[in-house]
Amino acid sequence: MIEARPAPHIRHQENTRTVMLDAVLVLLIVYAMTYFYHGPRALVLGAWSVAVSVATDILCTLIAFKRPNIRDFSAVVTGMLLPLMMPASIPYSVVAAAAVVAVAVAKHPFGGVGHNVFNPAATGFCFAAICFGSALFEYPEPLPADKLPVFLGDAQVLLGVSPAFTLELGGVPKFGLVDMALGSFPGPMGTTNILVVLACLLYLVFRNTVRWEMPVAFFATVSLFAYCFPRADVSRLESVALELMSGMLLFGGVFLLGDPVTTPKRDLSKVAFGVASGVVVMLFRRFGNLEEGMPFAVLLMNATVWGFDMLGEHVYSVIRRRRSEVFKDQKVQKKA
Amino acid sequence: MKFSRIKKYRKKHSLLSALLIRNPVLVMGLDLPFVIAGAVSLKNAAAMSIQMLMIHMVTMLAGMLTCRALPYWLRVLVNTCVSTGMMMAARALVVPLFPGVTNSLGMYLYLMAVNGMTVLLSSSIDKRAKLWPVITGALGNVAGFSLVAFLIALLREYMGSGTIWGVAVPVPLKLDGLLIPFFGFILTGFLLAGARFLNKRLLAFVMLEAARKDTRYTRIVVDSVETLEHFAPPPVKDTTKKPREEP
Amino acid sequence: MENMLLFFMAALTALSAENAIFARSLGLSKTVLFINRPQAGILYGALFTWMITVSSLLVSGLNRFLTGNPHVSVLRFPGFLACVSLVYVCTYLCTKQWMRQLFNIIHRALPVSTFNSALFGAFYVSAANAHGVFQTVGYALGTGVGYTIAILIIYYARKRLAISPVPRSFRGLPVLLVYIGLLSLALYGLIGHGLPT
Repeated sequence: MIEARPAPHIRHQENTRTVMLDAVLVLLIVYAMTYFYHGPRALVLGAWSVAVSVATDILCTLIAFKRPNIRDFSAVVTGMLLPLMMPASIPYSVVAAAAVVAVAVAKHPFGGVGHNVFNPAATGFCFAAICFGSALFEYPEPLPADKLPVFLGDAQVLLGVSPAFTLELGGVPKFGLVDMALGSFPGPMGTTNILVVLACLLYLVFRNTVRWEMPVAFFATVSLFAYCFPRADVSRLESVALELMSGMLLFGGVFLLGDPVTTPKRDLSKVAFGVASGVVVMLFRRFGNLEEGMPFAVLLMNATVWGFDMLGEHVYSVIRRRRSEVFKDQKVQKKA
Repeated sequence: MKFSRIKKYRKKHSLLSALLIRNPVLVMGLDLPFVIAGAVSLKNAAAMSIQMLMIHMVTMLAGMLTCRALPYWLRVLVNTCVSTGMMMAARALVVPLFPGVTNSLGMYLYLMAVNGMTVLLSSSIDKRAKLWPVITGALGNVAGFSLVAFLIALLREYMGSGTIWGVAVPVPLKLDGLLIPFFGFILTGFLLAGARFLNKRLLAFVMLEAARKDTRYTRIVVDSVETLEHFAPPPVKDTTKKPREEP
Repeated sequence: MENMLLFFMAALTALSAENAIFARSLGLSKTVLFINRPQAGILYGALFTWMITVSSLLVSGLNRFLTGNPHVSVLRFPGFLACVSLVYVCTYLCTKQWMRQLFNIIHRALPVSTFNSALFGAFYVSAANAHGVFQTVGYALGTGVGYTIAILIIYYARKRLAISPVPRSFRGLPVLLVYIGLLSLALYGLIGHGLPT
């Protein structure tokens, strides 16, 4: 019996579901660390964000008269990413607003999963940062004597500033590099766990969910920028370490810039994109008025992906043409 | 299906359709700066609407005169001068009516003199155009602009400032970022998408009503818009000659 | 040297952080949103840049004259209009007389690229910030170049969105506005405070 199937006829083990499940798995590990540092409130925030994202996703799909795809984990990934970029003391309403904007504005008007131009999690965070600026940039101390209650109510929470804010003012963070590597400093929930995030990057690269070219190019560019133009009065190597470990840079480089939908497709384009993203992120950090410029820089770079894809295609077409000419010359010489 | 019935029903919702779908702001992208950056409160929207009424009406009438006498490039200049004069007059009227509008609208109050709808449309009037259609067209344009401005201003003032017409009202969540131009873009885009969606459903309803009144089809089962498009045509008489049966 | 630095800083600010379209939504019109070819966008942007830069030379003198004048709020816009109209008429007549080929290319786009909110808005921002001559001209040049770049970005965004399965209600202008809104949000990270109006 002849069975007709539509193109493409190439089978691959990877599909949207496996890519999203990989992301969910590594984010669960990050959430485990945030539970260790901030208590059950971190997990409740994550669950609430996921619930709102999925509900918004289903609602938007129904409004478009389509069938919701429960097996698609894209809304779950967006929901899990958002609270990790925010303080553990953030109100639930802020997370909900960010999740609704991330899914309803950044994803569905552009065609849904796989077609969004802008990273939904970065969009949601940027929206929340502009609407609730002060609430988003004050962080509770990690590992407090009393863990944060699930519902804050009238509870008094001691909030502090992150090393990223200190660097923005030109100061030197009071935390040592070892403390920063272990995550014992105030900052966005998921971004302070430096070693865990690096382990997640290695896993995602091993699983081929994230290609290695882009993160390597991005972190190399950021390191070079921090080495050449330190913001604080420290040695150049210390400046590199501080820039990489403060704020959302490492987390954003892995989870925001590593999004396969909103980044270029070709390897060469990825390298160029990584370098350009590094420069833009450092410019935002130096000249921007907000202490966290990473998500804003990600949005800006998402809009330029088409340019990098075109550049990559052009370079590859030139290489292919040269190769075919060399091959023809060799053939002619052999015949002669 | 009788198309005359469809036309009759479409006329009934033509005004709504005109405001939604033939809206100069939403369809042609005219005067977007004022809607996106200026419409952050109902008072701003009211001030802009009054200004637009005065500027657009007078400039369109001036355009009717200039189109007969001047070449295009001069017409634009003269019409802009007329609209500038009207803008100053409108400003003198609007500022006492809405005292805080100078601070909240800022330069957009003055930039209404060069709003795209007025400059473009007044310079493109045909020499043979009659007075009444130009006046009604201009009124329609102003109505369309005002509708969009008020809708966006209402949403942004309520959710962004927690007030309606300057009066504090309870709001579930106040989002200051809604007053910034970026959200104006997003809201206008969603408003246009909503208007198209509404018009499509309205048209489907109109066709359904027309089909129900049509006596040719006594039994209609309609469960979706797509079904309306699949009404069977009337049966065609078989005019082919049948072969004679042989004895 | 200091003046050159002011010139370049003003130009850079106007080009990036205070882009006329993305930061203030000025100059948005049918011409900008529905451009058919990148060459048409570059021509329109170049014409706009010429008009705003040359007019800014006159406008900077006008701002100096109006400083301290009690009727500044009434005289400012008509003054801007007078300066821009003078440059407009001179450009039109000179190209028609001596550069016929150029005139044939630009005469349709010249009125629309001159009398729009982006041009006058840039002058208002310069006046509000009390810019000197070099800053006014630099800001005007940066506005023009930033406007041209924004037109090209919008053109390529339309091309990109045309191949996406955008929902039917969002196709065309709605999704383009959402796109521009999100770009505007991204640029806001550089500014981080209310823009002067």
